Amino acid sequence: MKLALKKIFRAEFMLFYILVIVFVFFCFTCGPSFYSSRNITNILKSAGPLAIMLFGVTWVVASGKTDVAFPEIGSLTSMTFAYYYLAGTTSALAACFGIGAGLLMGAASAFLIIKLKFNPLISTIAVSTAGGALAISYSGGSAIKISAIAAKTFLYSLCQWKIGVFPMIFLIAVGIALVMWFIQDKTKFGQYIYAIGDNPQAVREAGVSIWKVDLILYMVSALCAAFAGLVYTITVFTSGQPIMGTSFFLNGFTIVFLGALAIKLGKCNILGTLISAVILSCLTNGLTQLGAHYSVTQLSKGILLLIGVGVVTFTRRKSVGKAGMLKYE
Amino acid sequence: METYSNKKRVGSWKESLSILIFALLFVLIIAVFRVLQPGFLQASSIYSILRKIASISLAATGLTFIIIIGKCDMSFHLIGCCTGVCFCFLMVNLGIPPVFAAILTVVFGSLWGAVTGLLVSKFKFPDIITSIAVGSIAYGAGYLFSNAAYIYLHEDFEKAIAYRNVLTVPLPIWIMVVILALCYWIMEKTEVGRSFYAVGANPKAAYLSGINVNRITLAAFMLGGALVSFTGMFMNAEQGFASVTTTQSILPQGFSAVFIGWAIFKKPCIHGTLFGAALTVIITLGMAQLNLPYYWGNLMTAGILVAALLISKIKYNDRTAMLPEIKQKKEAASL
Repeated sequence: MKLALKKIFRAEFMLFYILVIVFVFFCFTCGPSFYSSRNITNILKSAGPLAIMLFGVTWVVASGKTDVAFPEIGSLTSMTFAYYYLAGTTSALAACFGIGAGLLMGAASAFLIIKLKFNPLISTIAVSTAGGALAISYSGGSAIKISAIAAKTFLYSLCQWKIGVFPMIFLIAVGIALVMWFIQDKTKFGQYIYAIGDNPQAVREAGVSIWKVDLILYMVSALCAAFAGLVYTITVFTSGQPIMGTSFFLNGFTIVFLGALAIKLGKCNILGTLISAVILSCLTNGLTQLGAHYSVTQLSKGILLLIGVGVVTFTRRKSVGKAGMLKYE
Repeated sequence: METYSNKKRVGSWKESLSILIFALLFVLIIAVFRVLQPGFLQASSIYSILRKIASISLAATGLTFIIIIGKCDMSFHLIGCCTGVCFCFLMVNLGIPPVFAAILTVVFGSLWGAVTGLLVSKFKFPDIITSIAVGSIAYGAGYLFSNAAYIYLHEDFEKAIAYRNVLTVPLPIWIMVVILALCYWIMEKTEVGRSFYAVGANPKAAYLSGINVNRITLAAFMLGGALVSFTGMFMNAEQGFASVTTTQSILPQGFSAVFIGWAIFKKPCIHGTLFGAALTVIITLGMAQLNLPYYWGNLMTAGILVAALLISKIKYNDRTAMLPEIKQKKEAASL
């Protein structure tokens, strides 16, 4: 009996429990307006693109590096798409331009990190500043409205569908997550990501060219951010947004690090990111329905992130043990 | 951090060369702006530029302490957002006189730093993520003060802080000079300053030679929080109202300032950061005065950051070229 309980309440499943707790809490406090099928669809609808944006970042963080450029890559893609689409090109071509611009940003950070051996944090800060400036340069800071023509795109009509309570955009996110989960868990490449995170020197000496893995990771990260930026532009904002900025940045890192609480304990992974994106949009939705102050949402996200980081740190330290450690360590 | 060898430093003349190059670059940039825009750097506008430098350099100096000990802080701009609003809240809503409000604000700012510092040093949380989390909480707390609206300052408050002249020089500039001089003295002339650098170079060795690594880490983060709260106060007082988003955009500028200083003086240091802050501010303001759209300033800041990193790289390679065994080891380690 005790063993069975231990199996159920394993730390690996903690994120699911958090999800259940958050959901049940809001079910009781908000009432039927929260658990109606329409609201659940809304929650999943906002979780979908957020999760897509962060899948790439998850891998980058799992390999022991950082990428802070993703909101700016999203906004650059958003503005590029809106600009060219409004100028009269077909939506497919405009989308290609947008994603191309995002990928160029990813290539720029990869170049700075791999070729010039800059610190990943500093180089992505530089790239994100430049990307943000370029995004603003299209219109001088104002949004480009495409609400009249956004409905004509394929992606828009695709995102209108839903199966049961699941909106199409969430199913797309789940699809991408499954593909990336397969790559992460079942292929050699996925093992390299985590191996590099643990001990890059060992991986290098085993004969893996790390720069290729890094290049792929940063390009995938840029691709995910660009695609999510496109989805946001067409379905959520129906306008090109030059500044996605701070809220995406803070939400993003909260989600990625909360994701480390699921399945692979202490390591960021794709399914964890997906689940924590759902948790975060549950939280935002529920708190908004309760009429909570904006600061409460922000504070609870920050505290959630701290808890996530804390659990990860403590479990890692437990697994490493104390042998050979100095007192300050 | 860099490796220091016992052999005579072969490339030492190159260090003064890089200082010279940057000084020339500085003069050149000012000259270019003067030619393009004759109104640039006149006696009337020099104080507004210095005031801007004071804001950026204080925040960047706080960041310098954290970078010296080999950690990273992604929350300083968000702490600035919170403390700036807190300062105006204390003065306008609670009626506390400016001096006491300023002291309370600095204490408040250093408390945010202390939270990060304690988690990073005592509980070994990873620095970047912890600072993002604490910054996020601080940002939320800022909204708690302002109630998501602007807090307008009375004109006499504004005069008391940003525009008050002491011996014909505005108050923020005096504060910057005093604080930076103090920091410079601590970092360059005292044992405490040396122990910051020791922790940054090798925390294990620093611990074994009797330095309390945890305390130094905590002190660095607290200084970071305290100094950035000056930036929050100045920037809000200057614009005449407090908004949570005021200092949100200083993150790249702060990092550029520190890394330009690092590139010039071969180590992150107070005087280098001041120089870096001056360079960033002058380029950004010069761009603005040329009537270019404001995003050019951001683009240039990113460019300067990359350029500073590149220059520091070139010098670094030059020196290790003289010592092949160190170069081999470094290459093996750096992947």
